Order: sequence, then C-alpha cells, then structure tokens
Amino acid sequence: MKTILTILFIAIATTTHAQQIYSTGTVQGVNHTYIVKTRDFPSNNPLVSIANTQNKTSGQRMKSNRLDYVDPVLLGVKINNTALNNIFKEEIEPSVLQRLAANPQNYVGLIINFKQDGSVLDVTFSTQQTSTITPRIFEKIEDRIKSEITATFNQDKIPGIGAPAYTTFNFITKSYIIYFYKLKQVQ
Amino acid sequence: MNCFFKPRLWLIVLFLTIFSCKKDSSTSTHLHTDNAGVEIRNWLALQKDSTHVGELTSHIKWAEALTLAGDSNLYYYAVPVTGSDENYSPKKICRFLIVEAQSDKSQGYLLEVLASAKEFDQHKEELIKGFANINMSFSYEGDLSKFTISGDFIESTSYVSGKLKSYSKIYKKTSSAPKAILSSGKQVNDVCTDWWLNVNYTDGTATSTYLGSTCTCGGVIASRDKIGILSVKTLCGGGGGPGSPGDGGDSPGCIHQGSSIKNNKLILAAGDPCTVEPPKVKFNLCNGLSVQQIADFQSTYNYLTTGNCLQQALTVKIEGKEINVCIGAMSDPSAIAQSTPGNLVWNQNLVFYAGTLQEELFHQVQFDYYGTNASHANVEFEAALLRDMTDHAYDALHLASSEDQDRYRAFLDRITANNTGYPKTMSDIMPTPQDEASYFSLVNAYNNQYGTGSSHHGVVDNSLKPTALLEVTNLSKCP
Repeated sequence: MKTILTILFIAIATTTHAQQIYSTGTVQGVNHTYIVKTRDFPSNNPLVSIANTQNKTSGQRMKSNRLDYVDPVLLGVKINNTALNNIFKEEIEPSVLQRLAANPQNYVGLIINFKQDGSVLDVTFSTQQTSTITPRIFEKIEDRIKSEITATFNQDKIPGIGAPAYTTFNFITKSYIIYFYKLKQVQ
Repeated sequence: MNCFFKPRLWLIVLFLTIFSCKKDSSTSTHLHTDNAGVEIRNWLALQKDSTHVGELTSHIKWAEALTLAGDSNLYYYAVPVTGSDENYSPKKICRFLIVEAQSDKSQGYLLEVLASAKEFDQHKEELIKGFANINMSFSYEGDLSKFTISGDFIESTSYVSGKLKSYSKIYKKTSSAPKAILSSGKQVNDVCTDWWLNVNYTDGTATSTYLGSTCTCGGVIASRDKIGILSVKTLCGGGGGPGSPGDGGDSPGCIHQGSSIKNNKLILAAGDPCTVEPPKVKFNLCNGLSVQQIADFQSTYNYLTTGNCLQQALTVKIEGKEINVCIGAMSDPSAIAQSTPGNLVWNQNLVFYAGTLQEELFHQVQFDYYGTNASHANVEFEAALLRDMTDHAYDALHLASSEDQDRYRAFLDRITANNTGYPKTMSDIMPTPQDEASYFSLVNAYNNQYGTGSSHHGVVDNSLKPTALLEVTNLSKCP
C-alpha cells in the first residue's frame, strides 16, 4: 500500500510540475518571490503576468519630465535579440522546450524596463496560465537578462530640448516576445 | 541669325569691338587672332561625339572667333554659335563655344550668356571669361551657364548687381538598384544614377532639385530640354535599340526612368528599372530642404518602396497623389512630422525615419477614407498598429501600463496569427462584438497613455473602425 501511495504521490507531483497552472497570487523561486496576476482580457489562452516582488517600477508607467509624447523611433531601444533568445534556449530544459515549441501559441512576453545607462532595471513576464516554465526557471532567466542584456538608445537630440529623448524618461521600456516554435527553428 | 550680331548692326558692332579692343589692349588681356579658329577646330577634331560635333560645326560663326588671355597662361578661344535663341526681353541668350587651353591641356564647353545688349556689347570679354567671378566690374544681372557640346548642363552662375548670387551644378548619386528581371527570366545587375540640381547661394543657403535617374539597363540617352534642365531617357534593349548587356537579345522594352522636373516637382521612379512604369508619386519639395534632407527623404522613401510587403503596398496605395514635402518647426518639439491632405511637414531638426515616414504617408490614405476631422486618437492608433505590424514590434502602447502592453501584444498576435499573416477583413480584426470592444479599448489605452494636455491626447471615436489599414493589407502581397 505504501508503495502504491508513493508511486501515486510521485505521479501527481510530476504531473503537477508538468502542467503547472499559474493563478493570481505569489509563487516562489529560489531567492525571489513573484507576483502572479491574471490578465483580464479576452483570449483563447488566458494569460498571466509574472513579476518579481522587488521590481522597482511596479505599477509605474514610463514617463518623461520634458516630453508628453515621443515617437518610439526617437527612443530607438535596441537589444541583442539573439542573446535574449539564447538565454531562454539555455535555461529551459530541452524536453520542456520541445513541448512548448509544439504549439505555436506558446510564448513568453517580456516587458523589460531599462535604466538610462542601458542596464536592465526590471523584467515582467507574461505567459499562458498553463505554462510549464517554473518560477525557478523564470528566476534564472531574469537573473541572466539583468546581467547579460543591455540596451542602446537613439542619440538624436530632440529639438527644443537639446538632449536625446531617452534621457528625459524615468526608465525606458522594451516589449519583446519569445515564440518557442521560432526558437526551435533557429536552433 | 544670332543674338546681337545682326548684319545691319555689323558696322556698329565692329566699331564697338575695335573701340573695346583698343581700350582693353592696355591690360594685355585681349587678343584678336585667327589662331582661335584653329585651336577650336583642333579641339573639335579630338571629340568622339561626331554627331554633335557635326551639328555644332554647322552653327559656328568662324569669322568671329577670338582669343582672350586669362591668368597663368590660360587662354580662352571663343566663337559664337547660332541657334534658336530664347528672348527674355530685355535680355537674350548668346551662345559661345569656348575652349580653355593652358599648357598642353584644354577643355571645351558651350557657354550661354544671359545679358542685355548693352551689357554684352560693353563687357563681352568679361562675360566670356568671367564665369564664377565673385564680382563683375559692372552691375551685371544675368546668368552664365556651361553645357557640354552634346547639350548636357554642366554648371551655371547667377549675378545680381554685379555680384555672384548663386552657383548651380548637377551632381549625381549612384546607387545600386534591385536586380532587374528580364522577360527571359534572366537577372541583370543595374546601377541607377540619380541626378540633382544643386544651387548654392552666396548667403549660405542652398537648394537641390531632383531631376531624374538613369539606369545602366541598356543604352542611355541624355539631352537638355529647352530651358536647360537635364532630360533623361533610358532605353533598355529591344526593337533594334541598345541592348542590355548580357540579356541575350531579350527585349524587355524601353524604360523611361526619369525625366526633367520643373518647379521643384520631384518624381520618384520606383521599382524595377527594367519595367515601363509611369512616375508613381509626385513629391513637391519645398525650397527649404537642404541637399542632405532631400537625399535623406528620397532614400527613406525608396526604402519603403522596396521594403516588406506592407510598406510596398502603402507606396502603391498612394500612387497618383501629389504631396508637398517641407520642413519646419513643430509646435510639439518632439513631434517628427505633421500631415494634412497633400502636405507633409517634417521637423527641421530631425532626419527622415522610415517608420515615421510610413505613418505619415499612411495618414494620406486615412484622409481619403475618414476626411480631416476624424478622431486623432483613432487614426494615430491605426497608423501605429500598421507600423507595428510592419516591424513586428509592439511599440504603439509603449507608454501604457504593462497590462495594457500585454493586452495589445495579445491583440496584435491574434490578428497577425503570431506575425505570420495580416488581417484582410474587419472580421479578422474584430470577429465578435467582444473583440470590437477590445479594439476600441486599446484605442482608449493608446489615447490615455498621453496626458490630457498632450497633442496626442484626444477623444476616441468608438465607431471609427480601421478601414484604411485593411485597404493597405488587401493591396499587399502579404499572406
């Protein structure tokens, strides 16, 4: 009986790990806690956002102290997409990556907020509620993004201000998306 | 008949010439010698353009050839050339064939002198050899223009009150064109040359006018039209005409890639230079654009014409339009451009960005469908949406909350099937009433990311659907 119960427990635990469903609340990584919020808009694949509780820009919007409008091209945020993709490829187990890539709908969205020096300030993930990527993996990915990814910005000076647009903002946002089936294609 | 040398005025002219000769002889710069005719004939004999040399020779008044001495052993051998002189009363144009010789080097050109009879009679020598003088010794009002013997414009100077006002020169910019595909299926490498008239004024300002383009897709014939602007015709094989190199006798037909442009009207001949296509869009460039800005604008527009399927579709959609392109100051210093129907004003201190130019040209399409009083928020969101679809980006709501950005990303991924296609019908964008509400909710989010005082903040129209965007996607060859 003990053996059967043990097997059942392992089976349930394994299944739970593989089919983890994120819901509103908090989840624990190794060193960080993440806030999970369900996204309240129509979708065939309900989404959640996953953000480190230590994020400094939570609830804040990107704002300029000089400009009330800016064309994205004037910010000109550029990052190394290949390096970012590689982080995901390297941190997600091949078998998990394989399963994720099997469905073109599977993705992870990123909103990366950068400091004016180009270093990463905060990262917020969004993904399906049924994502099989664990909080620990998100934590590893976040740590690597913060240490390995930097941004460059458009240095054109804004007329009337005499400085590049990005220097007038509290932080600079880049929205990015990782489709796993595309990651597999470039492997 | 040529200019002021009417037969019945010969005696007067002769008298004036002799008088002038005597007066100038003290400066040792003026010579009358038969040697001028010999020098000019020798120079003509070395020219390979036998057709134009023959035609020119028949219009030369050899008896009036003269030699003028310049600085540093430079000699001007000049002879009047008859022709259909334009009358710009009270001024006229006189033509001379001039050979400049110094040591063993010589160069020849046709010089057109726009001057009054009095100016010409009294200062002929100074006008002939005074090209590009900063100051004339008299109050000259007119132009001096140089042409090749085949009639192509080289350069000109313009004078007001005896002072140099402007200097004009045609310059060319060579660029690689897309590979042309001949009807045989063969590809030929083409190089196109864009021709510009650059005018520099002595007050420091400058203008530049695009004249046309020639492409090395077969023989090229260039000729000058009657007011002296370059006219370009390009032939591209076939019909016994010049053949494209390596086309194996294929007959892709004639090309008219560029033509003379007047009054600053710019014709951008886009696309395959081996395809017979009429000019697509007329851009009227304001005088305030610098040479760099014009070149920047042209290359940016050309980038769109050869860009991805949506960018190409947009440039096709605006075919037939005439758009004034000017630079100016913006009420909002960070605004890159402002559009009204048929007009585009670009921030004078910013370069032409492809994505923004795409948005501004899309506004011209929107004007056709929504008029000029449509909700600013709706049309700007739609333009930003088209741009994100083009760039596979998610920038439209970059100042919004992370939730709104996620929502926008999910919406964009849905209508583009994760960046693999583009919506062609309204039901692709809003298949259900819930999706329609979602679309306008995003327009609201777009609007609300700007403060109420922002030039980009307005009132959302919950009935204005993105019709113009679908007009572009439907015209495209995109999936």
